[in-house]
Amino acid sequence: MIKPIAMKPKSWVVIRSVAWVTFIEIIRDKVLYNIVLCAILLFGLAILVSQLTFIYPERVILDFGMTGMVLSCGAIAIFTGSGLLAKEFDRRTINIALSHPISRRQFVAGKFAGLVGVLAVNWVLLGALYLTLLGLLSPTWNSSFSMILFVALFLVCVESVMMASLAVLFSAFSTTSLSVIFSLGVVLIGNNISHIRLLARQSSSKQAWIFQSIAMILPNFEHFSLGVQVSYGFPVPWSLMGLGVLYSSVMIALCLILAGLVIQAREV
Amino acid sequence: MNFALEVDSVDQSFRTGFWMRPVRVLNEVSLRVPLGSIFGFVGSNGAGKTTLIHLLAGLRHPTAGKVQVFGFEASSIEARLRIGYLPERPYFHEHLTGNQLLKYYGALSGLAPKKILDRIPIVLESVGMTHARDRELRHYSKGMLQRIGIAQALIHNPPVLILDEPMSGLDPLGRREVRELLLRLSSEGHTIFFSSHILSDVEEICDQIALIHQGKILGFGPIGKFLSVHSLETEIIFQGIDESQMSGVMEFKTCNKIPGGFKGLVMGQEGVGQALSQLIGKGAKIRSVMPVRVSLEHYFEKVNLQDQKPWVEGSVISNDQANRNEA
Repeated sequence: MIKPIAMKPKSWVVIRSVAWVTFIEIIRDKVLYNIVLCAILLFGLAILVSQLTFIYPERVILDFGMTGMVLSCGAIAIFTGSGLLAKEFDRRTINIALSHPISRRQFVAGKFAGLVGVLAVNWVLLGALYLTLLGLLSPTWNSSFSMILFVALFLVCVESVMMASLAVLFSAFSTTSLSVIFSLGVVLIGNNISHIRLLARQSSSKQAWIFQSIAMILPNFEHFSLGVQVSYGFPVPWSLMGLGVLYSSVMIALCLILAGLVIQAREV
Repeated sequence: MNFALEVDSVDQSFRTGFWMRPVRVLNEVSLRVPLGSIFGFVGSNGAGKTTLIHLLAGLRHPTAGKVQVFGFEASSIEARLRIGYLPERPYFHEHLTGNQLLKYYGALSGLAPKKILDRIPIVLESVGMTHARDRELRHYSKGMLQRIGIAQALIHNPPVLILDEPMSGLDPLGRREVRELLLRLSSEGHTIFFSSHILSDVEEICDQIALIHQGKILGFGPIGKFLSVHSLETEIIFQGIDESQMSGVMEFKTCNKIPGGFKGLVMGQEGVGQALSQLIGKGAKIRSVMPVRVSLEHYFEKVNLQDQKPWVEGSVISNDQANRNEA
């Protein structure tokens, strides 16, 4: 009888292998290039609009650039993350992978790691382009390159990874299009949690309870939004950044654990 | 241990529709696959072949019953280390090359990187895909995808191969190549379990088969056992006598005129000698005497016509039973 030559693979080997294939899969996707192109066009628009203003042209570049970064990273996280697991089930590519001695949780972690790799590459490339443009076109070089800008850019990356984990969670139990809708919905609400809390304060006790619950349960993306601080040079306490990173780490872990549990229960 | 795969009283139900009503896809299925055998799993579309294969590959858990690979529960890591699986329509990440695909599945199989690099040329050679190793999978033909699918199933040299319709969609040449490959793998010591509805392929290479119909196993065992339940017929072709002389030959079940002579069919083997001596006695020249092989297709047609009966483990539906239902 033939003796098995393989041994139970190590978790990191499985995650790395799945991540690498996912990374290649995403960077070959046309959606990615469309999103990146949109971001670059937004940078171009920033240059154009900055020529039309006499006061603070660097602020226009700062705002447009940050918006381009947020939209690009967020769109990649949601649009590619939403199809990540759903596509595997639709095309049944997951069947062959799961017939190997790996766990479904490792598979989900690998897919997510691949997506994070793409987000990181996109963030580095667009960030470099943004900073270059800012350096070349901003008349007040020193004031533009503040510490707040780098903190804000870092939080854009953290925010997009959190969005990706949400999209992966939705992708574990629904179709690609539904995952996009769910993710966009949660991100939109999550960016307006303070408004929901305000609404809760102004509502009757029953409605207030509902709004408070929504504000408690849904992820709060306002922790990562430093647009105003960047534009006006307001100081950002380090604790805010630390809190944002901690909060996102917990949320990402929670989303991935839930996605793993869903995938575990889902029939192929 | 004499069995590579064991399925004991397995039920599988799916919940479908708005009310999520359970639909029973497999019903009290039991079978055993002997070590080193080529086991053909035969059934029409929708009979439950792929569902059972998913259970064997550890992709699902049965609603009831036990599925074991070398004594390990099929979905366990230990079981999955010992199987290679090819789905019915293998879908792969099409931007990968054949080489990258094998590296990927090699890593998922738990092979060390060096071992993967050693194994890739061997498996590519055995499926005849060495020439396409650096080509992206989206440029592969269906037959090439099937073969690279078999290669990924072989990358960790598993003792058992579970293949879902490995010959479907292939041209006759491709089917022959896959048949030859399966025979070669069997001779190397692999146990092969494959589903098919191409009965001639099953008949040609399998030593064991199981028949499934509407989620129930109608029988399983050595293929000869299935074919021998039919009474043997022998075809005699002769010439040199006319039709009036033939009436004296009592043993013929049927006799038809063919260009340049006659073709007579004799039931059983006892009648052959008598028919031949009578024909020679009348001055006929015998051109050929050939036993008529009962095909699995013939058997399958008969079995499919019959009502569902409670199955008996390892049993083969008798010819009489099948004939009764056909009538």
